[in-house]
Amino acid sequence: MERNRKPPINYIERITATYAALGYEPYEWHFADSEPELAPIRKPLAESRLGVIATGGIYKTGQVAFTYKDDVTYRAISSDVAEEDLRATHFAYDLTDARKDINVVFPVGALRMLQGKGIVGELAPYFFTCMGGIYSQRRVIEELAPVLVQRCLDDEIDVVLLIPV
Amino acid sequence: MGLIAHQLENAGISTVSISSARDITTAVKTPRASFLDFPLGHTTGKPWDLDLSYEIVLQSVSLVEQGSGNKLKDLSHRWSDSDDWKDEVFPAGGPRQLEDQDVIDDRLERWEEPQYQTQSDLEASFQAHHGEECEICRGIDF
Repeated sequence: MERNRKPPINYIERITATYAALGYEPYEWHFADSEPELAPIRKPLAESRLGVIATGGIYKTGQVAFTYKDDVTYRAISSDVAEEDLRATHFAYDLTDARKDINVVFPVGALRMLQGKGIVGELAPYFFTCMGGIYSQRRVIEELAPVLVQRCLDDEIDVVLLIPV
Repeated sequence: MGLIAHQLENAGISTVSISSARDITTAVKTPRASFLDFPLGHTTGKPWDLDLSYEIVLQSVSLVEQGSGNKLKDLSHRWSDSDDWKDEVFPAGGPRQLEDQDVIDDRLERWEEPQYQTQSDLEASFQAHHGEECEICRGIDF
């Protein structure tokens, strides 16, 4: 046992307690009751088109930023975007490091290395970003998720890397 | 994010998630995920450490080729030699409170207006989108 090793944080328990103490409306945690269906990979990763959906409130300068209240919109960011044009805005996590180096929540450098080394066939033309921290599960299920799924289908994406913050 | 992953898988698109919150990922039954035990805001690594970010992303993306048997993979990277940072995150005893004072709320307000990182971003967006009045500004941003 390594010195001072602690188990993963129980966020559901801690956030529930914090919200209650602050008098916030309780967050409606989603507990899935059945095992998920797994889509079989269509082709080898080295021939696949890799897409990205990230929730950290990432936008490109020139785009309209996200709001902090139940924002179910998304942004499409060209996958050849310059790193210095990427921004992060969010109410629920410490933005300090993301604003120093966007790669801590939106790993464009690593994604380009995956493509450069031939680990993936290619990157999708656009990466998609949204906010997360949306109170209404219904709005995510009915408004946000179907739109993102359709964009991924339209862009013929084989594998999506999901990056929550 | 788990909800989006489920819909993608149902549409025939394979997904991999990188999680910083093992309990949430387990509760949502995220279809295929790696767990990186780092503080929130560092899903894919530390500032100015491209090699680390690459390892995290590579090990995660590789899960799609490892069948359905390995749905949650624990990545071995540690944030630091000590795990004391975990004590400061949403403290287990409830939020911080000073004597005779209200509970400290260190989250930002839920502003309903777009929240720009810089003033120049606001100006760039205004210029690009004609004062946020065009269709694109409602989030369908190509």
